[in-house]
Parts: sequence; structure tokens; C-alpha cells
Amino acid sequence: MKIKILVAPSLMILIIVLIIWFIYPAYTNGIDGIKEKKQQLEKQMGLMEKIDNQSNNVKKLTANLDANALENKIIFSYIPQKKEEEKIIDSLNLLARESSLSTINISLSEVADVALPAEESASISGSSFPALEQTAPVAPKVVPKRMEVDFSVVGDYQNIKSLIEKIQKLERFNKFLTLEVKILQKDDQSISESLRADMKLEFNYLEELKMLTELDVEKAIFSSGIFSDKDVSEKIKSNRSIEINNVSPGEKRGNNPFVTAN
Amino acid sequence: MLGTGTTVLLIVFLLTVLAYLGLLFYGKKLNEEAEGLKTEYAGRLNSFISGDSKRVLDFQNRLTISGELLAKERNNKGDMEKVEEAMITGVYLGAYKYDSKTNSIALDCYADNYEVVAKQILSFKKQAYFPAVLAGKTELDTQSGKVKFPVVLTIK
Repeated sequence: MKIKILVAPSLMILIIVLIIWFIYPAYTNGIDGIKEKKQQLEKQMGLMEKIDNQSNNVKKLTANLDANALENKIIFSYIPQKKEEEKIIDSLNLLARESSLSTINISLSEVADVALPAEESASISGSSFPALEQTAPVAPKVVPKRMEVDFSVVGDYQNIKSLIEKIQKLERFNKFLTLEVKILQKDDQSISESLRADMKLEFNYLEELKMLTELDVEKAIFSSGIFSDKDVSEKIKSNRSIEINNVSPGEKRGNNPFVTAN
Repeated sequence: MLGTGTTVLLIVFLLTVLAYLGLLFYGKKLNEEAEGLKTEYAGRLNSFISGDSKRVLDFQNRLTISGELLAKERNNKGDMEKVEEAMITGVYLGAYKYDSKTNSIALDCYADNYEVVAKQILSFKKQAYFPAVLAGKTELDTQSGKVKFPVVLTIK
């Protein structure tokens, strides 16, 4: 009889103990409870959905690239995948000749890369104290490799102006870093009618992307499925109409490379 | 026999035990599902990274960079023409130096006399294209008999 009296309170205590020490922590303990696992699973499913969506966008964008291959060529001319310094030399020389100018110097040098900050910093915490906010790692900003070309010509003013205009109309990106036009003094100290123009031009190239990093996956292009700045090709077309020459290989010469060959 | 209250409590106890076992079982199932999804995601991510995505990103990078470069392009021939427009009779240029770093044009000008020097500086100042005009130290060029004066024009 006495035992019977104890059964009910004992059961009650056991139920309470089970709920507090076993069931509730099994449901949520902040680390690996059912609730946390479900959240993790939902997150994982979200990632799956995201990568599926991104894969579909890539298919769509690749089809777009294939369909507009000819139109997109201008972008690859503006920022080529390779240095192609021979084309720069040949084009500048040709433009100088076309402008009736004498070329004195064309020399190229590559500019050393500088470390650049990340493209953007994404905050992952909602802290109201900006200094305490953690920032998620983001892909570094892509920058083309730069080359500097020292280009000097001699000729009259109008022709130099014409050359400058033609250089700026080259399909390949170039920028005047410096431009110096000065009068030439003859040996007898009198002023020559010809002018000398020394320019430092910047050209660039961007090597083909060989491998995507996991940070690149987060780029907006994959989630949007639309190329941004697509009007750029039209702008290039309207401003730049002079094609960079394709240089044909020279004639093969004899066995001794140290002998001047004609 | 047990009373009704105790029987109810016993049933609740059993249900509590069952619920706990159920939670353990469900947790295990969720673990398996998560592992499966993780493996599947890694596979899909891998094929995404090694697929056409790099071609797409490469092109987008070029578009972005091209857009930025186009926005910064300046018309150097136009700059020269603006200087031409501002030049007055009695002055000629000895040198024209454009520098993209300072976004300025340094000119070595030669004039017949100081009155013309003053008029030339004023003419540059009247051109809205040059927001700042800085005249430097003048000197008499004994060889040409002209007044040499440097001017630095800041361009828009």
C-alpha cells in the first residue's frame, strides 16, 4: 500500500527529469539538437537550391556568350588575354607612319603588380558596433596586368594631333600617362619646325581565368544570370574603330643569327 | 490495482520515454540526410567550379573592368585643342606636358612682352575647361629675346 502511494510522485519526478534533462536538450541544446540540425539541413538545402540556380544561370549565360561571340570580340580586343606586345609595337609604328611622323622610340615595360584590397567587404553580423562586426572573406578585385610603352615621334603639330587621335581610337585599351610635345632645336640653336612628342602610354591585358575559387562562386553574376555593363561593347565600338594589327611572322633567315642579314 | 491518476501518469511517462527515443531516432535520420546533402553539394559545387562558370566570370570581369576604364577615359586631343583655343597672338609654346597623375598640363610659353604674358594668363583663366591656372616664374630668354613663362593648367 505504501509503495502504491510512492508510485505517482515518483512517476511525476521521472517525467519532469526526462523532460528537463533529456527531451529538451535533445530538441535544442544550441549545438546539435533537433532544432539546430533542422536549421543546418534547411541551410544545406538552401545552398543546394542556390547552386542549382547558379548552374542554370551559367548555362543561360554560356548560351548568350556563344550566340554573341562576334559582338563580344570587341571586349576581348579592348582587354586582350595576352600581352601581344608585338601588335602594340606594330600598330604604333603604323599609326606614326600613317600620320607622316618619324618614330624615334617604342619601348615596352611591364608594371609590377600592386596588392589591391578586396572588392567589397560583406558584413555577416548584425552588430550595431561596426568595429566589432566580422567581415566575410570576399574574392580579391580582379585587375588587369599593366604595361607602359614609351613612344616618341618627330613631326609637325597637326600630324602629332592626328596620331594622338588615332591612338585613342585603337580598339585596344590605352591611356596617356604622360604626353610631352616640345619644339626641337637645330644644331645651330635655331628652332626647327618639327616637334618632338614623347608619350608614356598604358596598355593592359587580363589573362584568361583558369580556375574559380569558392569565393568567386558568390559573385553576383551567378545569382543574377545577367551580364552587367553589357552596353560597354557599344561604347567601345562608338569610340574605338582602329583595329590592332595582326603581325605576320618575318621571313626565316640563315644559320648565323649574329650576321646582319638583308 | 493502480488508481486512475497513477495510470494516467504511467501513460504520460511512457509517452515521454517514447518521445525521447523518437527524438534520438529523428536526430540520427537528420544527420544522415545532412551528410547526404553535404556530399551532393560538394559534388555540384565541384562541377560548377570546373565547368563553364569560369568562362562566364572571365567575360563579366572584362565587362566590369572595361566599364571602369571607359568611364575614366579622357580626350587628350581635345585637351590640346582647348589650349589652342586659348592661345593669343604674340605667344607660342615651347613645350606642352600632360600628366595623368596630376591631371594637369604644364606649358612653357614664350611671349613678345609682359603685356602679352598677362593677356595670355587671363585668356587661360577665362577658359572654363581649366578650373585652375597657375602662372610660374617668368624669365627673359636671351637667345630669342622673348619672355619665357610657365603655366600649369588643371584640367576637368
